[in-house]
Amino acid sequence: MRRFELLEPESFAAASAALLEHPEAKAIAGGTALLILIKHGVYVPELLVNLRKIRGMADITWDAASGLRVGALASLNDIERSPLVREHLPMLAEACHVVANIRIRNLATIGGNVSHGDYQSDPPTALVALGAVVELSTATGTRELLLADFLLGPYETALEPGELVSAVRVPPPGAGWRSAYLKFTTRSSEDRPAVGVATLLRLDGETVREARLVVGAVTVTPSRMTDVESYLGGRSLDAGTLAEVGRMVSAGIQPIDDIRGSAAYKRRLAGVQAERALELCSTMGAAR
Amino acid sequence: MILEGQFTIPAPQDRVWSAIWDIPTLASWVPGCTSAAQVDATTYRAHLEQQVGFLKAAFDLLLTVVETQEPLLIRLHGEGEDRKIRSNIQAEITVKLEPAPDGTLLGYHIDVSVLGRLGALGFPLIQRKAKEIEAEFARRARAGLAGG
Amino acid sequence: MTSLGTDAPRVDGPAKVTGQATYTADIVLPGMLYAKVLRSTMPHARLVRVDASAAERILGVVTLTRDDLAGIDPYYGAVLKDQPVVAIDRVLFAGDVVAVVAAESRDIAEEALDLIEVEYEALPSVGDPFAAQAPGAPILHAERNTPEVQFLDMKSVHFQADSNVCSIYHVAQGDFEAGYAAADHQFDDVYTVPTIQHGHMEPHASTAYWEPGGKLVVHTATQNPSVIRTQLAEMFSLPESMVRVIVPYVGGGYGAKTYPKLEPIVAVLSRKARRPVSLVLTREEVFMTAVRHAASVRIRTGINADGRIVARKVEATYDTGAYADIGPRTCKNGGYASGGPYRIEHQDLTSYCVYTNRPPSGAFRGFGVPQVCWPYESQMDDMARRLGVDPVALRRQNLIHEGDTFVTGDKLIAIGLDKCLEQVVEAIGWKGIESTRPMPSDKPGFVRGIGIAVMIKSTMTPSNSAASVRLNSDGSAMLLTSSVEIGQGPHTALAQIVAETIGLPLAKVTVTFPDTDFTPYDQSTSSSRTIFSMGHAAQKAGLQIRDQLFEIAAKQLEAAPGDLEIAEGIISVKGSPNRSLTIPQAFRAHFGTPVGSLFGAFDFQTTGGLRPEDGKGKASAFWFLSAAGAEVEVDTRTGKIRVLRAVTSVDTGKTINPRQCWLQNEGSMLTALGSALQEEMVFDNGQPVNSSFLDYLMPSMEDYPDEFRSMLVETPHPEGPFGAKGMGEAALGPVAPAIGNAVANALGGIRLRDLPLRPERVLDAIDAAATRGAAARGGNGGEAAR
Repeated sequence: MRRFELLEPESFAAASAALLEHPEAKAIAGGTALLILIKHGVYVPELLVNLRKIRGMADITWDAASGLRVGALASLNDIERSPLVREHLPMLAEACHVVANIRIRNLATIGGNVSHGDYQSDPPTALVALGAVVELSTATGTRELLLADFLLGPYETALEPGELVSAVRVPPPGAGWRSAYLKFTTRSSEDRPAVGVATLLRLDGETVREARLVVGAVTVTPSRMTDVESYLGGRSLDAGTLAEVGRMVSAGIQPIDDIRGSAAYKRRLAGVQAERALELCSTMGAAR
Repeated sequence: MILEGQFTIPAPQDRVWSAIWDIPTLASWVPGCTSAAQVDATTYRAHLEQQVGFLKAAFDLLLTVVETQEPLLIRLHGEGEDRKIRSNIQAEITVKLEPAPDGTLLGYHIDVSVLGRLGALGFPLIQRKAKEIEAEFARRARAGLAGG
Repeated sequence: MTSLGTDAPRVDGPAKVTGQATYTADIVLPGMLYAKVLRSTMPHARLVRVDASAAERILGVVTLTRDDLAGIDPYYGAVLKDQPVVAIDRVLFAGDVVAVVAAESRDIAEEALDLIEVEYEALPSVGDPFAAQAPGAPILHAERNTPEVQFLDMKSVHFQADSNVCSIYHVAQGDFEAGYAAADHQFDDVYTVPTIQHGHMEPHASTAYWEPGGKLVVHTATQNPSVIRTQLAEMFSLPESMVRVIVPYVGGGYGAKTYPKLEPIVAVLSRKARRPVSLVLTREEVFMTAVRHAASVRIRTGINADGRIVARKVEATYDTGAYADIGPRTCKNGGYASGGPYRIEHQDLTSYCVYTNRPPSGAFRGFGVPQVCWPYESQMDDMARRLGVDPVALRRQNLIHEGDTFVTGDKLIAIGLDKCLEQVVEAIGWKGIESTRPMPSDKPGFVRGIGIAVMIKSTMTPSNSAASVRLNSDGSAMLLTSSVEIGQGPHTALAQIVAETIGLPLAKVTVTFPDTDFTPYDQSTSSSRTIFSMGHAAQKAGLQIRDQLFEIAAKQLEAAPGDLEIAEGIISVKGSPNRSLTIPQAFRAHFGTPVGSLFGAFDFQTTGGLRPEDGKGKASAFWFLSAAGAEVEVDTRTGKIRVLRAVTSVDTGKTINPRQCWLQNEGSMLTALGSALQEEMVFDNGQPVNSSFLDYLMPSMEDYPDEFRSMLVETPHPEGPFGAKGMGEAALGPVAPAIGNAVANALGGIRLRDLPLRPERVLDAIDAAATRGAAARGGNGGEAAR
């Protein structure tokens, strides 16, 4: 590793100011993703702004009207273990739980996770399905953006100079929604996902009232399958419906070829896993 | 990694040929490729900068014309190094032209190797980036030769 | 109370679990510089220019390039000296060492590397052994150094000139062609295994300095200090007594730390720097330093309708990478084991060790055998399926037994393979031919199956181990040995052997770390040979001490030495426990006061070696025998395999420490599990693209099968201490084919021949079988899937 400068501001405003002043600087929190790139020598930092000394940015709160708010510095482990998350958004707890291993989850922060813009990750898929919003803040103000609009491509986000993700918010899912996140790995269980499927269902007996289906880790940003969502409306999740969903997902997605599977394989996998996620969701996903 | 494809340029073959045979013009269709200049009869220098998010690579390229068959085919060998990230890029590039009903069909075949640290880590991203470059290359080629 | 055969706790346990154990990277010497390596970005290129002058101008920076090799032999290598300290005229793989920088810190060294200018001229490269043998392929080692056959067993290996085939080994018996043609059924298949990495936790690390008197001192994470000493002495034309190799705790190796790795680099660089130089690799570099041979194996077998295997021909082609390392031996040992542990009249076995522009392949737990066990044990099940018989019964029918003659001419002794097989059959619940059918799963779309496999493997032969034991006047003893504590437990197990032999409490025996200035020669801590070879030497050395004690005590106790016995440090007359002497009392009797020490020393050389003309002779001092069973669940919609149960049985000869044997087996099994299901180094035009634990995934705790255990069989070997044989690698080989057979049984006979059994591959095979099935149903109704 080459030498670089490290700033350790103790306030959000100072961190944002530092980033604005040094366009080449990069923020670091848990470091689980960035350090790999640095150690490999493909990213050579000149200045890193360590956010870990900033207090009060790891809170997880719930409000019946506005939903969940997770401070950007909350670790994936904090989220996974939060009683609030488990009660109101169990799918998010699951999507954080299946990331790598406890050592990684204990360091990785949710702000870093979404800011890194890596497509091979679990939490963004669940968060996009949940309609999550990111709070983007500078020293002087805050704007909000749907996570789906924030994620632009590999390592690319809508962050403006000086901006940091200060929190991730998830609106209250509303009554009667069930949810499930299903990860599939092609190697070790600690591997990054070859495909991740997040789904939400509002059922009326056997009939789907509303559905949301997002396929992650196969495209540069999580893919919401809106055609599948509308197809599901008013149908029951019988074998025929599920098979059609699988077909639609496979046909509708353009996966990236990578070391975790060929595009053709992932296309097929996405369909199968979408079926299974829906099944899991309808049978296990706790209704609220 | 092999990149190949073809697209039609709405221009006659001799015009397309003169454009691609002018290596700086050909290079200017590649996004991120700048300051292409001739060194001698068959070699050219160019600078290639690419960025995936905050990851950047900058290669000083040496391009060698390996074969030409006017107005059908040109083959180039390109190589360059980014010492900062200790990575190399190597490419064997073939561009073929043939007449098409609405202009000229340009076919390309590029065998590109990204070696060193970038190659070791960025495999899917490099592939992805290459696809973007391909699309932009076609767009610029068409735009550069359209109408005039 | 004897400790032999008990689960004596590991003596290194407390230091390791408290983080206090010292490894090479923990050693900091005054004035030490830290080194970093500039590696080739090209798989094959001529080095036009290497200019380190700008880097050298930085204060405190010392560089090593091809310009710094004057006055030494810059080439090293276990078998062939074909690997230079730093690249001289060409680089031969992406990751090859081009230059090295030492500086006051690793960060400075890293930045100094940026200042080194390297100009390459790309050369065509060869990515696999078949491309390497194609007409017109670039020859990687045109001027081959003639092998100095220090290793007697290498005389049977035929080195090739002007070819990328580094070496060939061949052995045969009977007449394969005739036997194959006359057999009732013929099988002809090709199996492959990819390049994998060992995944040892501690990366390679070495530190060297030169004493003012001209002695070279190296602290290093190696598995064979004596070999390092020899190779460095040859490099610098020094007597071996002027090279001192010290090995602290080593954090795993599995073969990756055999033979020179970083030692030549730090030795040459510290000579130039006149300061100690330390080099610790990053994980990415580890993937460029030692890997397991990829292999492609064609196996032809003729079998009669009555189940008797009559003929087998194996051509195993191993990818040895850019430098030979120990590849020729790996391929030889894989070669003669490639027919499997079966009585086969006609055999023709050839192995090819081929250079490519890939990281150098070397020793890896299993040493060439997992690559051939995968084919022969997979094909075994296919043959049983074709014959309509129980594959376990087919194995029983053809298995080798005590007293048989192996294809190499070895008379087989201490062969408990039948017992291993039966233990596994019992443990996995094999029920004969019905166990070859798919078993239902409670999850729709999932099927289950079980499978069995067996293995035979040799050990390095001939080889040499010397031990020295010193008994102090207080009754404590030290075993001086160059065996390396690499996590496999010799500090405990060898102490158990010495304690048992002399008759001391285990706590009174300590085992030293290797230091070639003080500990005697040992060929290698590899080939699972430590307990057998070093254990034998330690036992004989201990017996010398016991005999001396009995001589001394006999006078005091007025008894014949032969009438004495010793236990827990008390010497007594057999049958008269009151006539006894403690060790301090014995010393006092002998020396007048409790001073001095008693010595025992023994050098154990196993005999053997293979003849150059026919590859026969004595291949192995003892044989590893093992069996494995696995139960898998296959997700037929995604192709993903989960191993639900895995069991192995290993013949230890005599179990010195059961718990450590089980742990060794479980380690082997986990490695095998990874190689079977997921591990594979991927290259793109010669560039490794997954050389990190982010993209190269080894099994994690979550991937552990629900049932995961090993069992031990004891078939004593006359030369082993108390009958013990080596066992550390034995469980690895049969696990992958047992899994493959379980998958085939789960899928109604679908055979996968390429490792790893990635989900995508499994799904493709299911699809292909379905297509073939549909075609067959539409056609003349032939067999759906063989």
